[in-house]
Amino acid sequence: MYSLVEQQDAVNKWMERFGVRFGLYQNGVFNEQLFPFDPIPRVINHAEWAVMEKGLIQRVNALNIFLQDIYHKKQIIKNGIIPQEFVYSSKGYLPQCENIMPKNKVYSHISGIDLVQAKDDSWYILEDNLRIPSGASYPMIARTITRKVSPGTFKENLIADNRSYPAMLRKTMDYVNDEEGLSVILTPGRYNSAFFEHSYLAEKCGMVLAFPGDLIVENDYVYYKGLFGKKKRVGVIYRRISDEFLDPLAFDSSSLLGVPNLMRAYAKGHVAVANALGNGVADDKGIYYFVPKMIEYYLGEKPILQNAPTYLPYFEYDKKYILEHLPTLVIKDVAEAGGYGVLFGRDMNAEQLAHIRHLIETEPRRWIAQEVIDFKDLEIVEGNDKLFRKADLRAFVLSEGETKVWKSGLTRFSRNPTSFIVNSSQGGGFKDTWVLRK
Amino acid sequence: METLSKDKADRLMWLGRYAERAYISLHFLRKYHDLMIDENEQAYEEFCFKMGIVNRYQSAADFMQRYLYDTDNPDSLLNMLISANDNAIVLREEITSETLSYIQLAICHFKLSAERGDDMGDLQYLTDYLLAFWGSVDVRVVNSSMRSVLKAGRFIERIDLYIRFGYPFERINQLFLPLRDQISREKSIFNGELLKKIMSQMTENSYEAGMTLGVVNRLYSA
Repeated sequence: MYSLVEQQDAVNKWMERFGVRFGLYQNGVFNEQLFPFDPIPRVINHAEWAVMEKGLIQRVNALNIFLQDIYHKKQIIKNGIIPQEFVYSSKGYLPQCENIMPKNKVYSHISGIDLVQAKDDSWYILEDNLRIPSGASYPMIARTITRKVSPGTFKENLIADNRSYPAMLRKTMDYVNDEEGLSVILTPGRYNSAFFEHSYLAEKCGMVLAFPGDLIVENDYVYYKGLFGKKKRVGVIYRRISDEFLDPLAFDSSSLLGVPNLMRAYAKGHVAVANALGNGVADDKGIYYFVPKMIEYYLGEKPILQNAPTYLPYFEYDKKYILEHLPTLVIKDVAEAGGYGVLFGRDMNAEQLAHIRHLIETEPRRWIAQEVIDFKDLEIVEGNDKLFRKADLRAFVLSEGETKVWKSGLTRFSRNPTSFIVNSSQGGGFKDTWVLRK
Repeated sequence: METLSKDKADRLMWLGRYAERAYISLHFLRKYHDLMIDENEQAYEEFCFKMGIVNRYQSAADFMQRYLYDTDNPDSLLNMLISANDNAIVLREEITSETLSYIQLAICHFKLSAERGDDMGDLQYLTDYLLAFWGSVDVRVVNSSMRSVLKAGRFIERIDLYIRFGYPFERINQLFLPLRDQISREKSIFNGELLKKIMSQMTENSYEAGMTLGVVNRLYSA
């Protein structure tokens, strides 16, 4: 590992060579920058991983069943496990998806589950991302590079190979495709913050990278438009475009990124879309509170991985607790993502606390509150120094015939010593995640 | 052809053209830079004229700085590379990350040269990276339609620039053969009849520069 630290510059040069960047809009200007890579990996031992793996599979299985239930029988509402307000007021709930069954009943093909490790080493689930979770390509290419520059490190440590991700992803796509159909990755374009990932995954999975305008729907089938009117039918779309922009005739009519009538083809089962439309209802920050209950309800099992202690102002008893303990809690706006809309009570002055108190009282469904988990700091290299910073882990869970967890993940860290926010859009960096084989 | 869209064909064509434009421009620049050392300090004026670009430079030194590195100058070599990269980066899955990396390396090296104030000798790396890019295209771009469009772009650009710099008939004529090879593989994308016509005129041991230039730039018809 020490040789890896010494080779940090070499790693960064390789990253630059392969164009490993992410895009950022700041003050209306698009900038592409290298995603800061830290050479000290997060290491997860074999036994610890075995528990996490089981817990992640359990959670994603329950979430997939929940999505099917919500868009069909709604038993979980009928049985009073989740109040219907939480489902139908969720921005991610799409009435257009009612009674549509995705191919092979898979809703969340690629799930990105964010976890943090507390100082006592226990893991907590922080967030579920079931729409278009990104980030797998970074540890994947980092591993390819670090194995080149520091082979000894990988000889000495028994580390599970994470370069199988493209094969896993391709298998996931093939599971919902048919023999004739083309597999495409639909990107919003060159100036999307995750464009590197879209193009890199297309290359490594042997899929066609499609841009808005490359796809067309005819007679409720989707085609890729080749030159001179030649067309190839599309069987599966790994879309990297949000639901609301995916079909201007079904959702946001001003969208220039979508494919008109895609929803019709999807509803008829003529094309698979990964992840399925409408998944936002399950990764809503308000629904997150209910996931442990979901696991018990659908699977009859105790949750293996715990949520961070969470309170919903929707429930009077929780609201009372939140209002009494506001300065020690973290408040999250359920409609926000990417590290935005996260407010730490301890950082707010009296006026700000009064304002948020008012908002919680008037719009209880909009907020959740969580205890601040003092999560474990990880060591990072900055110049010649080694420092400790907050970090999380995004685990990737892929669902095809069975549910599998990729033996790696994206470890993001904050570069700001006082911040808990690790998102790349907020200046964070990333590390490789090693899962030990023994 | 089913997965070669109009946009993708355009990007391949322009990637080929910009990569070759950067390579050939640097080649010509070396000659004119040599002249400017001790023979004709104003030689850059002729360079601009032949390239068909606006002479927006105050002196030889200003030319060498801004023609090479100025991102606000639409004609600069750095902008040629950035344009090549803009096309390459959206073709990663077709040309592979390794092929794309040579364009990235060229840009990184060039930006570093600008910071360090390197002289012409250090720009040899740029030429090396661009040659490596074409080598990688031959080895790694396995889809023959994609490769043909890319390489046709290369030859079209080269013929265009050679004509502008008044290369003799033999040198121009030689280039039509590899171009014809690429075009004959992808007849639907190129105007083969036009190529035939121009090649028949080329047999008369001379060519009319303006007309040939016009035709060459109309060969791509996707």
